[in-house]
Amino acid sequence: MKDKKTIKNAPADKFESGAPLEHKDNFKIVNSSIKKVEGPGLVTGKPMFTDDFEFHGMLYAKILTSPHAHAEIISIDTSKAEKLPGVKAVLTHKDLPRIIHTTAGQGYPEPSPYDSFTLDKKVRFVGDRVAAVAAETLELAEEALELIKVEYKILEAVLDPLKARAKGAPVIHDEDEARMIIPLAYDKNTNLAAHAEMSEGDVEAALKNSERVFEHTYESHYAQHCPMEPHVCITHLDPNDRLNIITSTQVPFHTRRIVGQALDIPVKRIRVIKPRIGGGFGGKQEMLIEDICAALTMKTKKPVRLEYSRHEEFMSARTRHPQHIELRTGMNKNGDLTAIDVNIIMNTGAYGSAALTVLCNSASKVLPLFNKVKDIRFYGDSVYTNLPVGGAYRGYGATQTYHAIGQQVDIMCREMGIDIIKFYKKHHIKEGEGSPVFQKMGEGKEGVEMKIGSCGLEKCIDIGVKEFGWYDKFNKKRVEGDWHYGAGMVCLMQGSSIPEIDMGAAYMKINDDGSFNLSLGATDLGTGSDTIFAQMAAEILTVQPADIIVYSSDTDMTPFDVGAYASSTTYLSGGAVIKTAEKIKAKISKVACEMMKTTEDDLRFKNGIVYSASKKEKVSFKDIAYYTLYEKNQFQIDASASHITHKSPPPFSAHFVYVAVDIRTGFVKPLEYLNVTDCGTAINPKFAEGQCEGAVLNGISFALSEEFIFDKKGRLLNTSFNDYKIFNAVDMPAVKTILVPTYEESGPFGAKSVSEIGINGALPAIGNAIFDAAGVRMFSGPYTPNRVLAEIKKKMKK
Amino acid sequence: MLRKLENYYKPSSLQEALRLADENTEGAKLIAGGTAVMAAKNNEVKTLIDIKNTGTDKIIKDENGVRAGATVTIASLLESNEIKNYCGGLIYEAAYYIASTPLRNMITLGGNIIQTFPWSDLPAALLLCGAELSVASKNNIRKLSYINAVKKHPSLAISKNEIVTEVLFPDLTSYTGKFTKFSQTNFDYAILDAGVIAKIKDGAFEDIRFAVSAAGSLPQLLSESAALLKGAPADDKGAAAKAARHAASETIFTNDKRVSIEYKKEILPALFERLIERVVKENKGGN
Amino acid sequence: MKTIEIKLKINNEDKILRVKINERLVDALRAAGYKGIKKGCYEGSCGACTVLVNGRPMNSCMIPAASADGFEITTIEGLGESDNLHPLQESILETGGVQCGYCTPGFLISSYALLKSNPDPNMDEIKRATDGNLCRCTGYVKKLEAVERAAKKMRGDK
Repeated sequence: MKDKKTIKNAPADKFESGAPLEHKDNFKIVNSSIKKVEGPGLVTGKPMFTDDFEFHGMLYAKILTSPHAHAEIISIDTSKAEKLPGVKAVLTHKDLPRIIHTTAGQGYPEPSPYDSFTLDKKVRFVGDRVAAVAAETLELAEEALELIKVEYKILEAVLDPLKARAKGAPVIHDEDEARMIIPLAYDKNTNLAAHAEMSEGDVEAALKNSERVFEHTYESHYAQHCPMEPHVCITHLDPNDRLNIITSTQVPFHTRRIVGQALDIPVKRIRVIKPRIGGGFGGKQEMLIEDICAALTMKTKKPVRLEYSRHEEFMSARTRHPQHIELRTGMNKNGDLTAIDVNIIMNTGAYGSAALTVLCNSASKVLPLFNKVKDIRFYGDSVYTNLPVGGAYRGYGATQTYHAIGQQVDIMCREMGIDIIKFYKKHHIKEGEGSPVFQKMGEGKEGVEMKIGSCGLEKCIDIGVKEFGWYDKFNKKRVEGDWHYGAGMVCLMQGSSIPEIDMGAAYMKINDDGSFNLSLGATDLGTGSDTIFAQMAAEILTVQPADIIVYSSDTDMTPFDVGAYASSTTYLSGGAVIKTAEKIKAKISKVACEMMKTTEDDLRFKNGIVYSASKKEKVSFKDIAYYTLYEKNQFQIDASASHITHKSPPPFSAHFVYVAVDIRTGFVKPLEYLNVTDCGTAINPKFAEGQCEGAVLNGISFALSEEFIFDKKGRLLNTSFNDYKIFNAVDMPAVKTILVPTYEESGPFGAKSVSEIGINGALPAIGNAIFDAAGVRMFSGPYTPNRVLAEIKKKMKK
Repeated sequence: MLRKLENYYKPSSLQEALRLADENTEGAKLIAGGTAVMAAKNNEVKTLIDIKNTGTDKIIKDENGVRAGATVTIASLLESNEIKNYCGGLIYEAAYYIASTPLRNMITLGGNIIQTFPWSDLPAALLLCGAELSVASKNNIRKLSYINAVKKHPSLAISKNEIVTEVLFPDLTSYTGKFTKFSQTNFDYAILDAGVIAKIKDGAFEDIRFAVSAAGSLPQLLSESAALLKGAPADDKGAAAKAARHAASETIFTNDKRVSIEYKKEILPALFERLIERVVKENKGGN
Repeated sequence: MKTIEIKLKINNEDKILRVKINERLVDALRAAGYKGIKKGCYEGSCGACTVLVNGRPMNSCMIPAASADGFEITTIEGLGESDNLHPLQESILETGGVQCGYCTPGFLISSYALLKSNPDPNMDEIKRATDGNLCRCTGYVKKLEAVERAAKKMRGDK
């Protein structure tokens, strides 16, 4: 990653700022793998996470959840629980205002349906909230739950998303209040949580004129995020009786707003503090537990801690939305893709968190990759079922669609005798090109027209083919005993931020010693964003990252940011950091001129010292800080800036995988996995690689092992790491990442996003590799041994 | 979490442990590694008797075979040369894929074979080698063959006032044994466990045994299937395949939420064929 | 709930802790201030709570605190200080093997135990030694690399 020859110069006026960017093609701090700024604290086990906070007299909360998939609460008797010594509060729907809201951690107005109450008189999935308890110890809280007597009227449940909209199907949200707050399709009476569609050209005609039409149905499955730190929050009233919420969240500002809304507390009475987060992956882009914990604090006036157990994480937290995708594509004799027709039924579970936006991203983060196709149709319904609730999950809809289209490309190329490598190189979107999908598919409103500013996909493919040894592995029919080997690949894109919707802001000030505080609303959930922001600010101010003290996030102390989602933090909040640092630099320049009695064009910045070129004088940032804080015309050098984005430039990636399939057991062993990724300039290459590797392994684990097993009544049966198996170090194949630098002119220092894209490849690439190895096509995930063997047996019977 | 726990004893001798076990039969539970007790949500347990310090953690070899104390951990089993060399590595292989490194430092031999969870790996290996348990009570020590212990669940074959102190892996010098765990991931419960031990003389199976676990609720010896191979030439792959197929019909399966019984039946023959092949191969190499 | 007193050594310091009789060691240690020990499952399956007990890595969520009388325990706090990091701590920062950092203490403890008994492990041995430490962020690549790197440093190899 030291090769920066491919990095083009950034235009000087890229950011509205007082001073032009320096080091455009010769970065000093940016684009180097510095160590994590908070690293020493983390590796020595310092108390940094939510549960490490201690409060005197803290109570422990526990939530009673529904054993039924769909039921009305006829009565709740909490008297015995309340009498248990040490129990301080028991809450049911009778104790709270009935205010409808969405738990989706999105900007306002949320494009997710309002269909949730903090506590309701109806339960809609096994694991839904019924009541909450706060007690002096966790054991007492657990014991109290057992003493709550609930009488249910069990209702017929909807467990099959394909039948959710059928006539006569039970209505899951029959409450009057449920609605979309923006004018979008929503029909609770037929369990329609959201709908998205777009059309370009004439798909039917294009298919009719195609040499071959390919039509297949794909099913992608439920999955849990499995951050090692479960959802946890502590709420308490500060000395001014303001509600303080310390919580492991990706969205502190949205959480403040939604808690305020759900409990009818003015936002000014709420402070949300996000300490270190132990992983999120989208699962913490949700106001999941903060409202109920806060309600217990409001009732008891005491600090209350609520932490989901691992069982509750599986049972009650959010999941990846499963999708049923019917995909039709056409191809011409010469291997040109002629038309794409995507029909999706997405299962959003009992509530519609991100029900619309995940669906939209299934189109907008996938279809533009094939922008040569003029005839495209996309039609999707998000339907309610009495199953666990979908939500944001790394990949966000794209993962599901790539499962389908990534395999369909392989099918088409195989059946038409086309080289898949040549296919992708010819068909993928290129620099300077656009796609009608960008404009037609926004998130709750129209999208943004956009031309691709940077695309290294062709290079990714070329490097991948060579490094992986594609032509030595693909279609080689290598067999050793019962083990059949095969290779598969797929190409991917994602996006960077939600254009014209998301906003991130930063604030900076200088300290006596010439160091700086950088406060951000952006949330580092393990990605390393605090570090890369320090790198960005340090680059501009010519100081070391250690001179930038990053703090994120606290709704009282840091400026607004939508939070960590939509692959936005580097691209969006990074823009705010650059602007802020440049404003600071401009102020420093002004003071330096005053101190050295010169003009700005005479100034040179180096290592935190400002030189006057003509006078051979210099003042350090420390001198400047002392001057402005103590000596003359005193003022605080500080600045704040906000950033919104006007496009969502996609990162690109080519994934290659080599597997062995045991044809007598169906066991698939992933052997090698290579991802070659263009994320623009990697602000911190090792972190960027780490994002790729983490996403890739999550994807592999999702493709081969992870699944939700339900009983006939919709109860999830595998709610622990003992039977929901995520990959450990021994399970993993040899995973390799190669970053291909490009320069995205609209991004900070040429950067694009990198956190989500890597999770999308494993399902299709491994699916393709299984076909290459064993000749069976896995239309449904996960590719567990029993499923793969069933396909092998089917094929043998033919 | 044991909500009603009142007493935690950690006796420093076996005699003391036996006395405590004798005095506390109601609501008392023995604990060694602790993994099973800590995972259980048991509100009945009032007393825990921790037998970790009772000196039952040695592995020794004598003329009868290899003796391993009940509180020997899985990790210690794997580190023991006596176990590594025992019966072609049968016990070593069965222990190798149990849980994870930290858990292997905690889970004990005794705990594993007495809990006998459906997915426990060691029980099937113990059946294969004809292991014998030493069961002590305050005034007595009795021997209990593991085969008898698992006719019903081992917890029913051992009384509340008894403590399993030792497992004897009988001398099987002329045997070779192999074990396989089939699971979705490495740190996982077995979908199927299978093991084979055989004594090969003059190129034929003089004796051969099959065992399986994670199929039903208890580990099973498959005598019928193994009998099909008795006397057969070791390199007769057709006979091996036939016996392996029979194993699938001889095994009693119970439902597993993860995969169907049909799936387990489908793959079991492959597991046995491969085990037989490995046993034969090693036996040849050994000669 | 009845409490008892246990005497033990934590990171080479003699300690007396008063613990609930049914308490898990992880909770007792965290209550005593060793917050570096994390908990992610309470059932021995994630490894976030790994500590050394008498030199061996174990899941402290599966150990009754009452049994810990006389134990010698090493937690992440016993490995190194921020200004004097253990080679493992240093290496994992150098390779970029820390993302959210929640599983890091447990992983480092398992690796530490490995390098004590095996100063020159191969990759398979490193994977096996850390097979009980789940991580969702990193895909393990850079963490495993860190153990190799630390081993080299500790051996004094170039």
